[in-house]
Amino acid sequence: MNELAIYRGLFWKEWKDNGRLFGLGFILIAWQNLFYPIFHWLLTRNGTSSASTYFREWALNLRVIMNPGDFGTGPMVSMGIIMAIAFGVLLLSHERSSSLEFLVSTPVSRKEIIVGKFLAGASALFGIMLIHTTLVLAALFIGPAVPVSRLEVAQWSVFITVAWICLFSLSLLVSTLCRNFAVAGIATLMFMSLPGIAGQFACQIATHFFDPAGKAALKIYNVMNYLQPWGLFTGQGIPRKADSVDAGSSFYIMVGSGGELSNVKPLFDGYYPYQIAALLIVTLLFLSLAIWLFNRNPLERKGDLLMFGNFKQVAIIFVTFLIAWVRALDSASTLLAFVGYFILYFAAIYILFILFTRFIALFRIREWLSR
Amino acid sequence: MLDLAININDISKSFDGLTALDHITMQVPYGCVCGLVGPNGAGKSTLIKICMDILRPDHGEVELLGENPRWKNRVRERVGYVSDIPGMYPNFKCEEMFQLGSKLYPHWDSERCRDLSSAFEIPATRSVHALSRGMKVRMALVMALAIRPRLLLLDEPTAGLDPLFRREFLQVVMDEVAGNGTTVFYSTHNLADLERAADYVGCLNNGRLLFHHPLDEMKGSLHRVQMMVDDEQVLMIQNRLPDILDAQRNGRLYSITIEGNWPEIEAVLNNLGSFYPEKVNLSLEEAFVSLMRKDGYNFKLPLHSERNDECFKEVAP
Repeated sequence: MNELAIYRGLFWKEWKDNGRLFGLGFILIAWQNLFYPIFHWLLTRNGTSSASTYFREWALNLRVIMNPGDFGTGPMVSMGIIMAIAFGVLLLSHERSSSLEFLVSTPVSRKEIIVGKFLAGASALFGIMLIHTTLVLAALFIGPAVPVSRLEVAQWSVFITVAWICLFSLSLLVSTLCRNFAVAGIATLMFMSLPGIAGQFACQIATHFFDPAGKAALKIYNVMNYLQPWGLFTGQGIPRKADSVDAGSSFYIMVGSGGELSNVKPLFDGYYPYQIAALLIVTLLFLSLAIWLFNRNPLERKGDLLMFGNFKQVAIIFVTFLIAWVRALDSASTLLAFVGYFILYFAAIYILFILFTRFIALFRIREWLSR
Repeated sequence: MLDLAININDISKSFDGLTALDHITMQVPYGCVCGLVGPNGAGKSTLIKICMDILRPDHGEVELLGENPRWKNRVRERVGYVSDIPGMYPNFKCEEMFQLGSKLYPHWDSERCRDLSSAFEIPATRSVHALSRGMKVRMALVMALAIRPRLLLLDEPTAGLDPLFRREFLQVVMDEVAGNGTTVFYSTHNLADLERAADYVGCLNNGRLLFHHPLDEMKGSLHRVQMMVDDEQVLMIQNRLPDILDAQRNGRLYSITIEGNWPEIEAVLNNLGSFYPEKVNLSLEEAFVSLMRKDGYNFKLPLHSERNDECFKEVAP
């Protein structure tokens, strides 16, 4: 049987098995943009509002519906982020809980299993956005003129879809290392915060040793913040022309508050397609890594390579790192001294932790022996 | 050299430092039924899962139908697998599981699947999660046979199921072997079934392969002998026949299970005196128990009352 037929079978299987999840995703993502207006129209069509006046209101509020929110991005995008992560996490952990042994015993390779899941999840996200965009564009065609062009809506849709798929591939990657969906979800959120955490550390170094005024730190923080999902979708970290609309530029992401359109410059200002290309490359990178890890991680460990197998060790190293970092930063006045202090503190605290855990273990053995 | 359906070469596997399989090497020729026996935790399921590439060995390699399933996963197109607890998609209906099989296996025989599922009375429209364990095993067997397998790997599929179904299951598998020359590699605790069906038998204990022989050869090399003896004669027999695997004594009646060439054993016994040794039939189960005892397997219930201890007292060989 050729590879295409296998992928077709796996794609069918994923949709059959996860169709309800994808359907729920569609409802949650498109709720505010599609269903709410339809329900609202149905409820008020016999009242004072006519269909045309309702369309006008909806079209005028479209940008509000699509974009702003308390978290820097709109409910639709936010829900899309949550669903993209949920798809990646649930597709694999659901399989682990019941049927992975069956699937692995069929003539399907582990690469094909992961690629099949990726294709199913990505197609679901793509499909959700396609339906949504088609309906919005149709509404813009027949509705009144609003300050959002069809090109802008299309570009926005492509960017958001690719960013969702990128996040989905990240959560799929993390799921290959985790036993169940709860751990995979938490680990994905941790991984997503890594650029922000790295940015914070880099900012501290920059402010402490090189640029007390904090200009360099701000730049680092902006870039790192942009690499986090909220920053990615909202462009939060990138300097913006506040409260201005650059009507001539088609390369802005639609964000803002109170219905205002802000011209938020993407990472490569004026090169919006490059941003999409970069996201696609990162997606492929995550997918390749997921395939490699799924192939390497023994199936009997149910993906606990990172989260369970060495959890205590990882936790000790993480806490040691944080304490050593803070202590070294307080003690050092130059970068070289900081590095020296950091190594010393790290080694000392790590040894203390290990001795402490050994002592606890010994205490438990004695307690057990005395029974 | 025989064509091999399964070639297991120096396989080792451990879980968190605990050795599950220790340098296992065994071959199964095409067209025969090979039974794998051993106590719980001996490593039977691990070995079968390694054969299917569900688990990966720490050392060694496996070939199924001449290919390593790790690198040539398409070899599983012709390998049917039934586990003790078949994992399937709980939200699927039975007919959807069959549909999935038809999409993943190129040699899927829909007609055969229909015939078998009707013979096994599998409810096509019922969800998998609503099926009993026995019904799931039936479904897994239907799927394994509908792919027109050249090799069947069965991992204790009938454990804990009723004798009627066990017989039915075995019959279907034997028909497959007779009709299509399918090779069967079958792990089980049911030695009576194995005795009826197997050509070869392998025995695992603590991750080690104790033996792997044709069944007739194995039964031919083990003998149960009964004789009338006194204490002195017991010692003489034990000194002259070091290959005694198991011995039971009830008054003057002395019963031994011994490994070796029967004419030679008989000659030794005749030379020792007039014990009137009588060779009795040895079932596979008795042979298995004797070999396991020889390997040090000696399960005893944790008894507390002296009376019970007396009941279970054994005569050491």
